[in-house]
Amino acid sequence: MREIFKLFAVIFGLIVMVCGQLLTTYLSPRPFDNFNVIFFILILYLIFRESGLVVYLSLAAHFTVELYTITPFGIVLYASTISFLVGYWLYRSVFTNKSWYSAIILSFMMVGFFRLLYLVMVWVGGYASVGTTQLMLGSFAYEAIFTSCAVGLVVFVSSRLSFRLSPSVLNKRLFRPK
Amino acid sequence: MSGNKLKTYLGVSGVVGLVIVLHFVGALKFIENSLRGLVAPVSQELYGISVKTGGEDEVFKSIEDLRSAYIEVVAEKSRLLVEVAELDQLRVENNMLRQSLGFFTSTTFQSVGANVIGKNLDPVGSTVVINRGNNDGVVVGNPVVTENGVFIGKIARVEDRQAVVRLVNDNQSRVAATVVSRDRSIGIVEGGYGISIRLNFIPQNEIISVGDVVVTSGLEAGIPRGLAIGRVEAVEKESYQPFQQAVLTPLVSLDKLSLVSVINKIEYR
Repeated sequence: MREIFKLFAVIFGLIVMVCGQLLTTYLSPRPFDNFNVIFFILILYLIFRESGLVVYLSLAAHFTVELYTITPFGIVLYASTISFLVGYWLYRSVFTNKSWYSAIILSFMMVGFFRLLYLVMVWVGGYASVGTTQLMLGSFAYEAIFTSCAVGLVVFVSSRLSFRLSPSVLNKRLFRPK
Repeated sequence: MSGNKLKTYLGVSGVVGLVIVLHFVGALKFIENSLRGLVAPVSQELYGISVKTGGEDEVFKSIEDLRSAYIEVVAEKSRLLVEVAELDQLRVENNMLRQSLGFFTSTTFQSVGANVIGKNLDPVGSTVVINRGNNDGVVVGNPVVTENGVFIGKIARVEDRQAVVRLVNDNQSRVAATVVSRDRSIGIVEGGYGISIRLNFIPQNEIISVGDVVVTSGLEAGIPRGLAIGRVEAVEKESYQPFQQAVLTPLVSLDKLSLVSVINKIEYR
C-alpha cells in the first residue's frame, strides 16, 4: 500500500513539475521564460538525495514534455535522459565537494550537454537551419545560466541554513563557555 | 570508458529506445492520453492567462503618438468604407457573370472550431496546441484560421483529441500565396524563425506595394484560395536577384490566439 502511495506521489510530483514548466514558459517575460524548471527540480533532487532514480524521473518528466513538442518523438527524451545519466556520474565522480559553486558548474554542464545533444539530433533530422540555431543558442545560454544560478542559490541557502541550524552549531552558540 | 559504465549507458539508451519504439507502435497511447488529459486543463488555463496578461499590441509613448495613430485609423476607415462599397458592387457583378458563364458560384468550407490550449515547449518551432484531433476529423495539413478567417497555419501533428498547429511564422512553414494587387503576384509565404513572415519568389518585374494584402493562392492541395495571411510591410528588391521578397505583418497577433477553426473539407458549388 505504501509503495502505491509513493508511486502516486511520484506521478503527482512529475505532473506538477511539467505544469511548473508550462507556467514559466507561458507567463514569464523574456528571457526568463527559458528557465528550465524540470532540470532545476531534478538537479536539486540529485544533489540532496544522491539517487540514480533521477535518471528515470527525468525520463518520465520529459516523456510528458514530448507531448508538447513539434520535433519527432524521442529527441528531447533521449537528450535529457542521457544528460541526467552523465550528470549523475559527474556528481558522484567529479563534483564531490557538495559546494554551491560545484552545483552551479554541474547544472551548467548538464543543461549544456542536454542542449548540445538536442541540437545535434535536430540538425541530423534536418529540423534546424543556421538562422534557427543562432536564435536557439541565445535561448540555450539563458536557460543554462538561469537554471544553474537558481540551483546554486538554493544549494547555497540550504547549506547556510543547515549549518546555522545544525545541532552542533546551536549547541556551541547556546552554551558557549564565557 | 570502463565496461560497467558502457553497460549502464547502453542499458539506459536501450530503455529510452524501447519507450520510443512503444510510442511509435501505439502501445503507450493510454498513458499518453491520460497524461494529456491531466496536463491539458492546466495548460489551457495558463495559456488563457498568458493571452490575457500578454500586454497590449501597441504602446503609445505620448498623447501626440496616440493622436496621430487615431487620425490614421480614421483615414483608413474612410478609405475602407469606399472600398467596401466598390466591393459590394463588384460582388454583384461577379455573381451575375459567374451565373451566366456557369462557374462555381461559391466555395464552402467545413470547419471544426477549436480552443488553443497551449504553445510549444520546444525552442525549435512556433506552434500551438489545440483541443481537436483525429476524433474530430482533423488531419495533418489542414489549414487553420481565426474566427475572422485569417490563416494562421497548418496542422503539423495530430493525436486523438489534440493537434499541433505549425504557425505561419514557424521556420518550416510554407504556403502558396498571392498578393491582392493589379499583378496578382504569386509566391510562397515562409516563416522566419518565429519572428517574421516573408513572401518569397515574386518575379522582379511585378509591382507590389506596402499595404497590399496577401492571401492564400489556392494552388496548394487542401488550402482554399483567399484566406488572408498578412499585409506587406516592406519590399526587398535587389537588381541582381531573380526574385523580390516582401516582409509581411500578420493580420492577427500569433501570440494571442484563443479560438480557431480547422478547415477539414472544401466544397465547390
